[in-house]
Amino acid sequence: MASRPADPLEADHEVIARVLQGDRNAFGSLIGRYSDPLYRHALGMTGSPDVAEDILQASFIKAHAHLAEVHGRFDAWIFRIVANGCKDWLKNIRRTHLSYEEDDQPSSFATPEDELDRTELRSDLDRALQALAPSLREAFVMKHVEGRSYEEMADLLGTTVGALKMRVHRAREALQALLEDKYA
Amino acid sequence: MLDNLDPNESRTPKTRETPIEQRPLADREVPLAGRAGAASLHAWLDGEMPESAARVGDVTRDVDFWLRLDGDLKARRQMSAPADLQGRVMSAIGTASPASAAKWYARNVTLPVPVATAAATGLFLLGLLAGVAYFYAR
Repeated sequence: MASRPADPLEADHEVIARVLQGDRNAFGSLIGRYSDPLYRHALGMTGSPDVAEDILQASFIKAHAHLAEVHGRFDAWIFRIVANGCKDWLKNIRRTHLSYEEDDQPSSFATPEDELDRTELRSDLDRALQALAPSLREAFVMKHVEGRSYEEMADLLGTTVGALKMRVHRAREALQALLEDKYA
Repeated sequence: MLDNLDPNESRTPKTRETPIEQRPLADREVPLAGRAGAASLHAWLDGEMPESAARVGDVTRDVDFWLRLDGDLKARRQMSAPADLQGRVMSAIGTASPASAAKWYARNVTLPVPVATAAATGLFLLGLLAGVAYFYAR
């Protein structure tokens, strides 16, 4: 009986080997494993569910085409593809206001007033996030939306923990400056 | 004659269209001057300090602000990718197989016999032509 690898990175390499041997459907398990955190990243960076979805779809298609080039961690590799997709979009787009209002996530609020507050806060926070420099936004989203540790962030972005702490701290201060008049 | 070393010569004075306090935050290297107690606030937000230890003096107001914001951040942390994403990616991929990682010069080349014969004949004729041209050029 074949044993299943306990290490997720080892499991990724096993799946990649299967895809490269012609098991096309095995790629679906990689999408299932990583689409949620990557979607949260793309959504946090772009502020638009539709754009986040497009970036993710294009990134997975690109990843499939170049799957044989993965020699290290698949999660870090696919993260870089998505992060670069977001940066390219941010460089190219002339954005009008975009918000999360179209999302179809279930609401956890009891009353319509709570729901209204939630929508307003969400849209204000979204606008404030869009006002940040992309590097600050990226650090804040990875820390507070994706819930990653500084060590993990440093690993994925190829920078130091100290530099990332500085970016997150600056992002927090900027967000607080933008929002505290209304919410403090 | 001496060179004019004045760097400001023939330059118009540098002016900013908007004063720094009116420019968007994204343009600033450091957004704000540090507040008192900011270190403990960041330590709490980084999970290095309990909330009770961060609630000191003016920072209490900041802690409340971040707790309020965290309600929305929590909802964002629970967001998931659209359910049909996997299906759409798989149908876009179709039956394509991933490209080989080997460098172009290290890949095996499959050459059909007619193509190989044509290539060999072409190279032979090219060589012959070069030889004849060299012979007449002498």
